[in-house]
Amino acid sequence: MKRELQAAAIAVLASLAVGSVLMLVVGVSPVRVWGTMVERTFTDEYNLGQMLFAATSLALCGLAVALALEAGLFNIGAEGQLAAGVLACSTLGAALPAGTPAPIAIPVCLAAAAGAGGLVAGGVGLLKATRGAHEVISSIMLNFVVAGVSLWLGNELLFVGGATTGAPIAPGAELPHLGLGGSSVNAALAITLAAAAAVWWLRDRTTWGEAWRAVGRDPAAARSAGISVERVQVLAMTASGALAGLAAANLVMGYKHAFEDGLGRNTGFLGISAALLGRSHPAGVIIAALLLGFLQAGGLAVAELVPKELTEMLQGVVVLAVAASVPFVARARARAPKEAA
Amino acid sequence: MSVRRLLILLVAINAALFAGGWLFVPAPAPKAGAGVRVGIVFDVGGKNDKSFNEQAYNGLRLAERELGVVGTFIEPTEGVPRETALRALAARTGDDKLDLVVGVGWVFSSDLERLAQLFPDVNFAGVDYAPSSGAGTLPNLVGLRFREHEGSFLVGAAAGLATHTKVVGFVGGMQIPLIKKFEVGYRAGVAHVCPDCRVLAAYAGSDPRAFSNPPLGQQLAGAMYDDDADIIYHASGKTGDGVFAAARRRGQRAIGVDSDQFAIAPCCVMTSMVKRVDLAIVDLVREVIAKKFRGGMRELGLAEQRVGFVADEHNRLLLPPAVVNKVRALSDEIIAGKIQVPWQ
Amino acid sequence: MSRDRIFGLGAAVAVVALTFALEPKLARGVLSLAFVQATLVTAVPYVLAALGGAITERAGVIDLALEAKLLFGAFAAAAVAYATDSAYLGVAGGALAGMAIAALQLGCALRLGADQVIVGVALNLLALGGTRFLLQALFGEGANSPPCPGFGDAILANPIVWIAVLASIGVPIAVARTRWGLRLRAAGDRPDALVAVGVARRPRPRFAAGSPAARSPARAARSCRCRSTASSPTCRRAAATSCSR
Repeated sequence: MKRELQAAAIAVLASLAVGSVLMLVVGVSPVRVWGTMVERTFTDEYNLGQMLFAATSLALCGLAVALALEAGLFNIGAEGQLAAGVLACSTLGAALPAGTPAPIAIPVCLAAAAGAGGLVAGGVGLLKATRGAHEVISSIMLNFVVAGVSLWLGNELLFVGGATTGAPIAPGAELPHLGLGGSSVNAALAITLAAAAAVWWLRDRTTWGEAWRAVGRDPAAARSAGISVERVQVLAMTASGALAGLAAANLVMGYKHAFEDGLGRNTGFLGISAALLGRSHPAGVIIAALLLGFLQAGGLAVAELVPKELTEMLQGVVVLAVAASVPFVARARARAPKEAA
Repeated sequence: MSVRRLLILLVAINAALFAGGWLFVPAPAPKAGAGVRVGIVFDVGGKNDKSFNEQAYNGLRLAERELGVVGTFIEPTEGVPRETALRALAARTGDDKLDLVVGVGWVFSSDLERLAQLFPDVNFAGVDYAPSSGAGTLPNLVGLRFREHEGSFLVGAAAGLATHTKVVGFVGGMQIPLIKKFEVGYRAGVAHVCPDCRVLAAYAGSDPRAFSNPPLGQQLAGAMYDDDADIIYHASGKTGDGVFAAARRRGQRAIGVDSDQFAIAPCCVMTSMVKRVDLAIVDLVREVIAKKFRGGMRELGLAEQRVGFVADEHNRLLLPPAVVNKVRALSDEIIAGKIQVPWQ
Repeated sequence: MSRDRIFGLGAAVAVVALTFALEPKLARGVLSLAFVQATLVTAVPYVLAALGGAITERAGVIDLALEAKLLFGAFAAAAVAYATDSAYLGVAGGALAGMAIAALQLGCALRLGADQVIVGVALNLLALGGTRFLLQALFGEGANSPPCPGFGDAILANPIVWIAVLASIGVPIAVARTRWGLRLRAAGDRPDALVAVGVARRPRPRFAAGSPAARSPARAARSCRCRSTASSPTCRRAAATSCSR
């Protein structure tokens, strides 16, 4: 624990320093920018809500990537799985009769979102398990396929009124907003926390989780221990895709209430960062998602002082800093255990 | 290096940077003019697209200069979706509260409707706003719509009069009804003065990125010039840069859109169909200052002098006076209602 | 040819034929010279980036930061070409930017021991915001740089096309036939063997061997870029030996 804290402290301080240098480059006082950023994000409930909203999608995609990562699979296709979830969730939601009550509409749409994401990723897992196709390649390529299919379907069938937005979903399928100054944060936040808890339970408390992590550590050893590596790969990918697809609940059911081209674009890729930052642990992923969400919402809150590209850049800096500080701390402590302790 | 030493070093570096900034960077002067505050969110292409967004940006600067308003803007990227940007401006409170929030581009239509309901005490305006079916007018949302087909008709007529090969081209951005309006007006203008002229038309794509793809614009325009077109009109935002590049390379003529685009390629830009988004925004700001802002649609065209074509000392050599006179006559006929310009 | 291959080829031909049957206009467009030219020009960045990726792949590393190198390379190429008014200097600037990213990648992964996958993802994120930030800082605009000098339309007079052609011949030969290539492949297939014969002390230098591919829109780079980017003694040694052919 102490080791993680030290690494986190180093990473945060280093990122702060890089950010401050960039701020000085554009000629603004760092104290002013950081101060405004923290103040506006945590005292203005609207900005706080926007941070939580961004973190919701990021956390789900992060959990998706983390889960696969622990089974030894690099799911780089959360982007496409999320897009599939958005497509399925919004199409089904719009097809439901307008009077569908929420207790039916919400589970149906959630299932559609998770199912579509799971289907796409499950296919990747199946290709890996049966044909040995590398999951990085097939999931990247499926990102393009899904994006192309949803744009095509949008243009042919879904878009209404000359815009790139589809018909609204049934009112019963809308997730309630949490208020917070008109921000977009909604009940999907609770779903996300439940999903994180479920992943944690599966991971640490069940034999399934044990099997996943065993395959992730050493497939050959897992196989000789009697675990079906192929089965684990397919299941882990499917579960991973379902989590990524669920992020559509936040975007479609809680936010746009309709299909829209490009909804959630880039979230799947940022989810990879959340998973890596959070070191694949569900709690870590949540914290990482909050941090990235803070940079996103805070970046807009200080858009007048510095270009918002600066905070976009900082997201990369933070990930890089964590990646470098963790092994640094590990090595420093291994070298001089007394000094560091 | 030990962990502790690194931590101390990093703290020291940060302290130095903070102190340096605190001591040596002057605090930015608070924006003068406690008057009206206006925020704009641009479409893909950004505020310097030399086209539609730039017109809106010029409008904001004009309002800052002449009316003393305080302006702020956001250029959305993939990282910050446009709705989030619009929402961030609308949700400002206290001293930063904005009196008018403008979304530039049809893509903002549905977002504006929802935000106008969510923030009833902020005034919203959408440039090229297309109301969604069933949406009633909101008291705090103005939709600006330009009759681009009228301006396109005029440049179409100019092209029809000036072409040597009797083939002219049209390059559109994203294939949507809004851009179709430009094509339809242009075709009508060409046909009005030159019934046996051919019009080649192509679009750069079916998603918003089609407005920021100069290489594709160059390919499409190059193919048209190869097919004997000698004048190409574009309505494709930043993609039009490629059209001008193709024109420059082949020594052919092109027609700009939204702003006066002569300066991008002085060799070749014969005229431009201008859409005075800048003046329309200044008009809106005036209404806000006078507290006369009323929601609803505004249609702006030739009669309102918010759409037109460019004929000045710069493009004199490319656009002969005879053509200018004929086109001006057509303009008067449209304003008088003698010519009905089709738009779909 | 194996049955799988014949089947795959047949399927591809069938898809293309079906597309043309449904869209005859497309077939006319595809058979034109302009289309062939456009295809070649469009392929250039893919060819160069893929060759760079292939080098690292043979050395046993998936280079996830290709995107970052492309983005920063493109930015640097445009900015340098704009500033110096020379497309050739722009190409050099692009290649240098690609190498600078590779150096950063190396520094983090070798010197600091960070996970290469995380470093790759982080660099891509950095490039996404970073190029826009630089555009904003230098040109006051977040989307495009001002127009810069280029090589024009004629593909035969375009040096980058030729670089791509030469690279796609040269890289496979270098990888298959040279001492450098042998070591590269050994780093990927049997890193322990490299240690055994004294090329490297630890298995990690395979990253060094893999990193040199600097990619930019020009993507000129390959060969022994290691020397300039080596940041640890291990890497420098591996570089010195592998570059001394």
